Amino acid sequence: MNWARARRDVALRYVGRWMFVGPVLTLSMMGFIAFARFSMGPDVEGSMLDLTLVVLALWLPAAIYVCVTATERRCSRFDMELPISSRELWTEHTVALSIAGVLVLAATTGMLLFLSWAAQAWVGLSSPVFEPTDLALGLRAAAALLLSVALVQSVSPSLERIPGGPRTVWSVIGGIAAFSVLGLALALLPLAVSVAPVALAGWLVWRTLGRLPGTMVVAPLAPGWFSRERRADSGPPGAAVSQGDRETAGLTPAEWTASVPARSAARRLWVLFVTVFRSTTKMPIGPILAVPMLLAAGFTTSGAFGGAVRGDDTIRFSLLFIISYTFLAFSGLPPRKLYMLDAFPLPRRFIFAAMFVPYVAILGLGYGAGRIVADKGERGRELITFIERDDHYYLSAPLRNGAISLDGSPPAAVAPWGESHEVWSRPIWAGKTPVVHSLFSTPPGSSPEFVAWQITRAAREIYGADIAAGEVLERYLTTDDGGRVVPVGGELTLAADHPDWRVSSHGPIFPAVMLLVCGLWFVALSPYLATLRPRFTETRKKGTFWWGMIALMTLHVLQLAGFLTENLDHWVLSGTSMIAVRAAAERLPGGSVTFWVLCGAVLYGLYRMAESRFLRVESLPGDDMRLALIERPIGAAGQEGAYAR
Amino acid sequence: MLIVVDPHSGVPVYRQLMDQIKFHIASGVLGPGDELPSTRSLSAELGVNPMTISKAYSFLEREDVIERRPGRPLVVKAVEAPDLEDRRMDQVRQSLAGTVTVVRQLDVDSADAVRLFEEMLGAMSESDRDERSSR
Amino acid sequence: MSVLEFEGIHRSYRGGEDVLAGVEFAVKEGEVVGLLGKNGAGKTTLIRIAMGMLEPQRGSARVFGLDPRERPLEVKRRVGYVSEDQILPPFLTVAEVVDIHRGLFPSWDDTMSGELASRFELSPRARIKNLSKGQARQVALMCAVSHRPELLLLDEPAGGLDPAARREFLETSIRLLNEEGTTILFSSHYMQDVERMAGRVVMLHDGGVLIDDELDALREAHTLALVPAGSGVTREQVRGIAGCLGVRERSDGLHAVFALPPDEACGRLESELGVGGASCRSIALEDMFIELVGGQG
Repeated sequence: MNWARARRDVALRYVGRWMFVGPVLTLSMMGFIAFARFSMGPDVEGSMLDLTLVVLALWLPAAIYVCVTATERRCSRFDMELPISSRELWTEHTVALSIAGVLVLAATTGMLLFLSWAAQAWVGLSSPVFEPTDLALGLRAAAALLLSVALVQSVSPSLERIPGGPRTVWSVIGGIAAFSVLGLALALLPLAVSVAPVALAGWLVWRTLGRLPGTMVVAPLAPGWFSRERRADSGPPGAAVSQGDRETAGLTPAEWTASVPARSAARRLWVLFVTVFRSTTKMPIGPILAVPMLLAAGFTTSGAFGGAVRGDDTIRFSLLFIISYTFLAFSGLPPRKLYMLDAFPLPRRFIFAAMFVPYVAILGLGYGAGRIVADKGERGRELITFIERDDHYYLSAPLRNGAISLDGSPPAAVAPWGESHEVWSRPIWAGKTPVVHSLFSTPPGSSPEFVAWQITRAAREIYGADIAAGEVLERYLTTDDGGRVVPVGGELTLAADHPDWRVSSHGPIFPAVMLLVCGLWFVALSPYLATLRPRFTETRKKGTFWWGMIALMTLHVLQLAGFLTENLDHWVLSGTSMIAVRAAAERLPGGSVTFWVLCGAVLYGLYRMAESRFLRVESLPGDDMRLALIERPIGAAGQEGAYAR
Repeated sequence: MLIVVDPHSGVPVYRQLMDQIKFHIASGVLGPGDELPSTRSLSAELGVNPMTISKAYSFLEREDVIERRPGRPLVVKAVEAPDLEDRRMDQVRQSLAGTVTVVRQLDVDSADAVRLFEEMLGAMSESDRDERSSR
Repeated sequence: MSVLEFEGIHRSYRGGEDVLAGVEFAVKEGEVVGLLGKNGAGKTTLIRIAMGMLEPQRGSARVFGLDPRERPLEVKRRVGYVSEDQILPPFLTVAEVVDIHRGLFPSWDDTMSGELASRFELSPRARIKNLSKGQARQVALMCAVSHRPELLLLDEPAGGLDPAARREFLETSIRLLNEEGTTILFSSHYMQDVERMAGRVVMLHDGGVLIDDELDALREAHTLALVPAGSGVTREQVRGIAGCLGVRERSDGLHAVFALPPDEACGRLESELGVGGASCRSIALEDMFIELVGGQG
């Protein structure tokens, strides 16, 4: 056991970055969990679901680091060639990995402790979400982590790296899931039980050490990702291939030419696109991390969650900055293997598009899927309701159908016959002038006619449907003993009675979201891409990238701080945003269509700005290590994998 | 015709080509009117830059060893018998030059050197004879 | 007309020392230029600059009169490029690679690619990652020449290949040269290949061009002089003689390279320093390389 060697182990190389990334992940997840929780209502008891989610938020960053990114290489080829026993090398890596995992875990636990302290100290919030958070949970997670390290490291322990390939990835994914369950189980059991996994880990280490041969062995080449020949290739790597060679070697020139039929332009474009995407992305970890994340982000942003439960989605716009941040985080990696593509007369514009457009498309896909769910949820649900509060029935409609008053004095609602009432309003940012207000308020003192008039207005606004005030008055409203205007049967059933009503468009939210998310991303990406030229120092390149990351994260944190300090309400933010977009679209000549075109044009402009910086980006073999969060082959990246036999 | 290029020697490749072609002419392998391989085919065969081949050919042409006719392959130029004899002697003189240098450097007596030379010539013709008679 | 021109190229990496500091030469149409230099002398950098893959910090490169950074596509379509550390997309099959090239190069010649592939015994269905190093390089070569490029840029193309594969490489390049009059710039550590192929040699050293001459002139007009130990002259004195390119101190005396024919070099040593016992002989490229850029140059 040599500490100097353990210190420069791959597992510890990126731990600094992960001690930053891990807590950020935890913060985002906790924020998400908290919002999801609050949007369901404040009075729900803490449940298993909460605990599971919190354990996940605590555990996942460390698990990803330990099981996915840092485990692969046990020792460098260099160390392997030195006269050092495999036991020493294996022990060093295992120890380094455990330390790295514990460090990341400590960072996320710290973030959780801080969050629960902040929630109680600043907001006076005592939510079931934050309750199980304590140091003991961190300790239990550490016990599970040690066991997972021991388990992963006992997989073919004498290989210099864990062989890649689908089987490994599935076992890692399964491992993360299993250990999350273990972590959860431990969280429910007394702390003393956590000794058991640690003991198990110790036994595993002892057993593995006993079975290690004297020297590490070079791992066989990983079978190809998603390649069909994988299954046939059961022998040693290369065996199946040489068979293929024998089959086809000795073709005459004419036969050879005939064996490569010219493909259609579309098919060729597809192959090129796949080539560029796969060459510039860390496969398969990049997509495995990015696709679910972006799908979920798009799904949430579409308003699917709230839309399915209530009329207003209150959390959909809380993630926008963090999505831009995620995009930027991904795009800090790609110059990988660009030098390989540079040998082809391939337009940089095409490469740029193939690198980044898929991610945007995935976000859009998630959004689309979310919209379908949300629309389905909204159909048939009563959007115009009465809320009984302070002994009065208030008419309530989704906030998105309200309006904004910049000077803080919303106009009163005035019926054609002159009856006038103040409308409900609320400052967008606590203490500041601009307010968001309802158009359909029925404060105490409203006449039944006024209420009916407001309902017809709301129905026209929300459903685009005309219903006569007289009909509303007659069919839905009545006056109770106390002289209050109340719905017949206690509830309004407009939607149920009119199945043909369709909720009118919310306005062009999608282009606005895409413009904001991708626009911010391109704005933050451009200066970074501009530094990937010879005259910029490493510090400058890194600095520019991290400034962009920090700027986006700051926006997100400011937003969170607004929520936590109760200066900004997520549902006010959500409603206000939608009102603003719709109002903007309505004011434009040509309406939504113009808005779409305009957003598209601005976004395209920003895209072209980032692209123009990308056109001159210089890529050298080995450059791709710069901002890596995950381990990659050094030097002529991938060559080893490409040619080794 | 056998031409071997040793790119590693200090002698430029075009010189090696010239020397070998001249040797082949002197030894009668190439006779007057014989066609020389084209620049292309020779360069492909030897794995040598075609410019080098054409350089050798044009020097040989300038030295009146070969002849260029428009649209036809290069041919070995006809020479008078005494000229051919001269060329053969030239070849011998060239290869003896090195030997002479060694003899000088080692300070060997001229008479001894000449005797050695004659002995070796005699031994060679003897072994030639032996070979022939043993068949 | 110059196919390739370098003008005062300066280039450094990561703010370090200049790898190239004012490299300047041009390659004429149909010329075959061998680019020599120690590891790290900047050969790869220079070739990448010609490809437009790297940007010079000062100076300019012109390929077919175009700036390869400004008009990368036009340049790359007319250039064939093979480099030692170049990798083809490992997950594609040979057939897919060929088809991609067919789509990218308007002048792609199916007959030629088929012929080469057949000669190299490549299997169209094999994936690049499963090929041996030599085969992968052959695929790269096939792709680099089958669009009949006007300029071939080869960066250590034969590095790590066995002699048979190297020869194949050479012959393919020569064939292109014969058929198309292609201009070639290639870097190599195999002096044999350079001596076979190159008409001209450019040697990079210390960021600049140390030697730029016709190969034959180099061999005929360059001399290695051995000044025996004990002649009583110093390195600096020999270095001071006009025409001396470099002197190394070895155990047997001084090894000096002169840009002069042997007799003239020995003559100068005698007339200027009074050294009579020097032996002067013409020098093979490999020896010249070692004497000039080897240790304590």
